[in-house]
Amino acid sequence: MSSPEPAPLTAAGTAPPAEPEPAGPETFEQAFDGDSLVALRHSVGAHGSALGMTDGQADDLMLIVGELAANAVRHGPGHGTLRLWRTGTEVFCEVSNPGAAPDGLADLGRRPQPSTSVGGRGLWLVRGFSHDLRIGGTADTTTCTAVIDLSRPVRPVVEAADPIR
Amino acid sequence: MAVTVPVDELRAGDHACLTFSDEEERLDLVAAFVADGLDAGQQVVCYTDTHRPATLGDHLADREIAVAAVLDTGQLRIHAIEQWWLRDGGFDSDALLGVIAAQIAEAERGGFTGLRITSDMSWAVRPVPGVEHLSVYESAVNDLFADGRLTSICQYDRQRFDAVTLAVVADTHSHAVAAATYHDDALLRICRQYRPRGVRIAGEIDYRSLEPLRTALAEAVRLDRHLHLNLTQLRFMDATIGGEVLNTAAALGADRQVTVRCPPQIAKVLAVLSPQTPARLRLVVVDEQP
Repeated sequence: MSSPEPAPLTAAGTAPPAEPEPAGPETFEQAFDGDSLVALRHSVGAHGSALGMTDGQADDLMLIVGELAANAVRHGPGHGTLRLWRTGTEVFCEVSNPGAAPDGLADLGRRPQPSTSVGGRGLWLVRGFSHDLRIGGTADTTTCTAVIDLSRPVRPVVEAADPIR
Repeated sequence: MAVTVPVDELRAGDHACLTFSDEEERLDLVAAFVADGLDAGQQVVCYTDTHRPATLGDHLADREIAVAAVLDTGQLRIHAIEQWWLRDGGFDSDALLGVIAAQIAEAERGGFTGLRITSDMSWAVRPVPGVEHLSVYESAVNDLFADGRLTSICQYDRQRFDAVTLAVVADTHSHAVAAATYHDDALLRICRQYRPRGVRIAGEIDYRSLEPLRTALAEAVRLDRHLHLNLTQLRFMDATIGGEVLNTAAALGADRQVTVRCPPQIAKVLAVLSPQTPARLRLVVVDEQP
């Protein structure tokens, strides 16, 4: 690594996601905690059209935000920040919270989860409703970013069902 | 003061008021009441106001009642309330008492075990001449119930009637019927569904309401052989709740089934959560309701 910064830590030991930085009025940012999850979902639903999403895509985004934010509330520090932005045809949905990602987080939800799994079922759902999910962060931040490409449908259910990925 | 009972525990001779907060709940309870009467060999008369008679018939048929057959035999009758209750455009308590007494006699002559009436009282929020005598009627009609030949539910919309009227209504009926409710707030309502039997969830639900959902599902698993989950008015469901629904289906014995009726988005959540639909889950996707 040639970066002068300390190498960011991620649970999977992979490079952290480097998203195009949000810019412009389409960027949406909202802090949340356990008491404001419903308001957060509703804000996101209302913001969908500003991002150029159809009603159905906005419904998918609400679901993604609901799961990622609930993870921060239930399994993280209890609060976090949501940022949404669009680059080209892709909508980025980033949920971050203070605290390093727990070990193994990046690999959660890669296959259908038993009901007892902690957080895995939600992440499986997020993966099923988005085109990509990047989990990373730093020593003191956890960041989950789901990507929805508005130009193509989210992968069909049968493909999402494929356990080998 | 009216005693609150589940709709399936009403007995012959009960005069009940049904208060409801949404149309699905009203139709569910009315369908259960009608079906119980038909099963008991009673003649059943539905007076409808909100829906045209044919539409109410369709709603009852959707709830597993053989409407066409019992309309043919005369065991079920569906009438527009204004033609029977509001003759000449006004409400006449004495005339109506006469009509109902005649219907009791007719049911008896027809060989039925009794008469069961359900009346949509929505008309009474309109400025109908004589509507001020409604409470007189609701009291006087109680004499007709004394010998157990008449059983009746009067339907009052909680949103449309004022508190004073609803209090009078509660006083003039021996029983009150309402859906058993496991959770009820501005965002979410979880209640028992009586026809077909199961649970109805309306609004938005996430992991924070897992406990009341579990209670509702456990009760349905205990009481019903096949469970019907009515999610047609559910707008949001997260992974935790979807997982609970799937687990409930997976835990049932091989001879039992869960039927889930839901809008496309809810179906998508279940389909993604469980790529192989569990053998005991039947998914019925319906168009989103307004």
